[in-house]
Amino acid sequence: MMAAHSSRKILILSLCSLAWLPALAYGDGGTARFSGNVGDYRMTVFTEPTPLRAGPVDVSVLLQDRQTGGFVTDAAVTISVSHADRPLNVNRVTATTASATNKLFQAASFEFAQPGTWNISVEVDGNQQTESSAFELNVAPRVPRWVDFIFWIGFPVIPIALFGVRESVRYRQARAPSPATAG
Amino acid sequence: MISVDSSFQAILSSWSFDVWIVAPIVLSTLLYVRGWYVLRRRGSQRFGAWQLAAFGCGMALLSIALLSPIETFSALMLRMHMVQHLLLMFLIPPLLWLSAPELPLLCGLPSGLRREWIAPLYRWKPIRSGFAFLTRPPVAWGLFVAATWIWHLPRFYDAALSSGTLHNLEHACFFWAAMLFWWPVVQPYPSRLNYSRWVLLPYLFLAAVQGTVLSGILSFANDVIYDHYELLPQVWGITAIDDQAIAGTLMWLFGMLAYVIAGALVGYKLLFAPRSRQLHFAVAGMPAVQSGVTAYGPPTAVRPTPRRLNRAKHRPPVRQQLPILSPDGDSCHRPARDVLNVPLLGRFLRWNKSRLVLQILMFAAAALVIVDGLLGAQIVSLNLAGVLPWIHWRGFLVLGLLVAGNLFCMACPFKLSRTLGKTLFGGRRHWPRWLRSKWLAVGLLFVFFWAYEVFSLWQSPWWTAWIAVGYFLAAFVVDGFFRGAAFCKYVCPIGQFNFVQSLVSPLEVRVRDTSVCEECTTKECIRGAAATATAAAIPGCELHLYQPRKSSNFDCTFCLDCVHSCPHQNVGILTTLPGRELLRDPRRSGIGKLGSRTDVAALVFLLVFAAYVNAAGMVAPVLDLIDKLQAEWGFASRIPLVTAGYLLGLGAVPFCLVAIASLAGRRLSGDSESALRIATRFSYMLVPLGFSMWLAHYSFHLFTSSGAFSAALRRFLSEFGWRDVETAAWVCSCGLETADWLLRMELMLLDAGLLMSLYVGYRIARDRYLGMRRAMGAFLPWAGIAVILFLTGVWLVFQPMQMRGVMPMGM
Repeated sequence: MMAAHSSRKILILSLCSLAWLPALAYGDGGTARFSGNVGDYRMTVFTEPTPLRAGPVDVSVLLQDRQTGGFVTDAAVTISVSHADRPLNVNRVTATTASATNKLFQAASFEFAQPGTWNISVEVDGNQQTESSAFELNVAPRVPRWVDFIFWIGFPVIPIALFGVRESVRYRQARAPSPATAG
Repeated sequence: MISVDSSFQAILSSWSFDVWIVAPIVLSTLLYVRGWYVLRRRGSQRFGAWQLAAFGCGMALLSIALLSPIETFSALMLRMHMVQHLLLMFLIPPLLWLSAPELPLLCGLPSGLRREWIAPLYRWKPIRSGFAFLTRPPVAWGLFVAATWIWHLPRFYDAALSSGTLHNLEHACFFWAAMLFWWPVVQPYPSRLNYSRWVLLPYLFLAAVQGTVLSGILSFANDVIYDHYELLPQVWGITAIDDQAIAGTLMWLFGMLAYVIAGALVGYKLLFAPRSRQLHFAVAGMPAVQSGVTAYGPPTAVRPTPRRLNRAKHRPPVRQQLPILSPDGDSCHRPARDVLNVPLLGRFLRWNKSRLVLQILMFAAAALVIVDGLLGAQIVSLNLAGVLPWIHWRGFLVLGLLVAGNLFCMACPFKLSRTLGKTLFGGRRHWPRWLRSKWLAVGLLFVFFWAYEVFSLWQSPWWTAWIAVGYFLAAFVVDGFFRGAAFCKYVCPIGQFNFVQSLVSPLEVRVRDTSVCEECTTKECIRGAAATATAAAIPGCELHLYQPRKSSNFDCTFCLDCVHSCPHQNVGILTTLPGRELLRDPRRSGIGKLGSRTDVAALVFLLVFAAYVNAAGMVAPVLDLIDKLQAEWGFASRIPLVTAGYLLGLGAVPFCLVAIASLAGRRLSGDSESALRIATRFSYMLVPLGFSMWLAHYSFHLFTSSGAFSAALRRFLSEFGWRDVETAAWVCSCGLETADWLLRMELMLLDAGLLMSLYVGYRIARDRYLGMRRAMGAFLPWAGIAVILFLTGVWLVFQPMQMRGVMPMGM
């Protein structure tokens, strides 16, 4: 009896389940790649996605006052990236809070065209002076683009499966003897 | 440095927006509210403001947990992450269950969807027994505890923090496990436990014990358990170890509070609540609500004591049953809406000059194309003849077919030259009997597609202009000599394209009330209306579609002559279920049975496969292959290779696939009909898939190069001396990678096309063959073709595509 009544809850759970589909857009933040003192600041640099692959990459910077630990968002942050094989080909972008979901961060987006080692340099232009820090990132090869869209490619499987279940249930019900004929 | 106030302001403004979270929450809320309102209107006393508030609070908290700064900062602070988990596990699930969401959500669904889709799944035994198993207290408790502990293991917790997908999975596990855990505790209406509620006291107590142990581990650990937080900077001077201790304390406080409150309420109900309130029962003449809901088995009757009978008598009257899932429930059929009743738009369409206005506008655009194509600079991306027809017109054509119907034929500029031809030459001859089929149009379409590729027509404004001129001349000549709309019905390639694709359009010109037509003796819709003192004569349908027996948009040019000529005002532009006409095969006025029209089936196959071949002719791998073969085989031009490709793609390959599917289906289903007849009937299932490919392809060009019109118009105006040219920032849109949103849209279109095609094919098979086995035998080979085409389309949209025109810089 319980089975008969309890199955209905599945529907509600299923409806709510849509809310758990993976987000398509990158959130900022991600994995901390560098954390250290740079001049008067404590700087932490995050990258998204994880693991880092060739393709679009978000670089976010969190600045804190080195003494008090308070957040700093009024310093100008410029991020430069270049591939280790082509150090002169530098892509330089000013990070902004507008590009970040977390408004304590300053973020910028880059296209890491190829895998390998990338040099990241973060320059902070504060009230008094300009400080900078550099580090390296290892970027894995890009996954084929279709992998990012696998949900959309495979989506028809879901309604087809549901339809199959529905038809099979209806088929069985149609074949089942009614109480009147069951004797 | 910024002040504390500013940093708080920054934190409070750190909301994220994820459509995949917002849309389901909004949709669920709308469904619940709608269902709640329906139930209230039906007199249900079980759904009051309290339930509505509980659901609203649950959804609001879900939004806060997943979109607010709590989510944004969860990766920075363990305590924030803990708050998020506690909301998902201890507050939101009980609130959602307290709102008794089952019936409101079901009532909120469209009745057709509910009865046709939900009800069968509801009755599916694996689902029923599966959920019954999952909500048994030992199982629900075990899953809840397992989810809690496993995800708090450092390895998994750190992994979740470094991967968005794993993080979502973690949240999903917590949420589902908690939903299952709280279900026996809340026992939402109309569910019923079949075991004693005393079980819930140790159930909650043991859950509290394990929660205390876990929070104790977090609070009193000497080291930071999760590496992720150890690497992060201190926020507000709180170290990672202190952050962890705070998180553990929050976990313990929050959890204990939830368990104690729940335990107290359960205990109170066990000791003091009247037992009858815990049961849902049916008494004579008052069936329990769930008896009309579950549709599987009678309710458990409770002995009708005098007290219960008395209470039932004094309840406000309710409907005998809620026919939520019963097959004989409220009808899902709604009267079709009529576009002619839409304010302003309907009035415009009812005006007998509306079509002429649209035609003049389109004629003006065609004139611009011809003038610029013949006289303007032959820069394809900056010439109106290189831009308007190949980017904008084609894009709007397919979008128009998708959202409305055959709008282009309604506004067809060639109608003007047809009318002129008729006026000058009378147009009294009958169209030759041997040409009264679609074979001529099939041939013309094939030639057009071939010429388009071989001569790169889109790259030649001059040729484009001449095509337009040729069209005007052909329409003028054909209708100048022949009666009826011979050009539209038998010749025009664009018209044939529209006729086929509009089979999946959501609007159709048809009669509003068939009983009115039964009374009608004058038949103006096909014979025409004679001139009166106040109105000119209106012709009847030139394509010989007799409205009462007209079915589908096939051969209908949306000329609205039938609308204007009907003295009963019984013809409208009505909404219809897209693709509905593909399922049936009635005898259609002016057409006959589509299932016996081999010429129409050939037209359908040509247009379906041309959608893929036409797109393939523009993608890098195919173009590279042609260049490579040309070099290897020493051809002077691409023409032989492209011709061979077209003969293969529009001839040999479709023929082989169709032959295999027909013969295999014939064999598997034991059909005695000829393979040709089977292929003819099943051809229509591929229409949605073909249309989805055209739509994906043409809308891609429209969205990537829509700005080209502005650039071309400026160049045109400047060249012809109407204004000084502005140095606008235009870039060639060639070779740019497709934006993610556009690619997603293309895939969605292909998905929809595949699903609709498969559904149509399945229904054709079920209607045609007795027995599931035979039907599936006939259907599966055709489903195979649909899947092959779908995968081809997917491959195509991922390829770099040759582009059209220019786009504003910076897009």
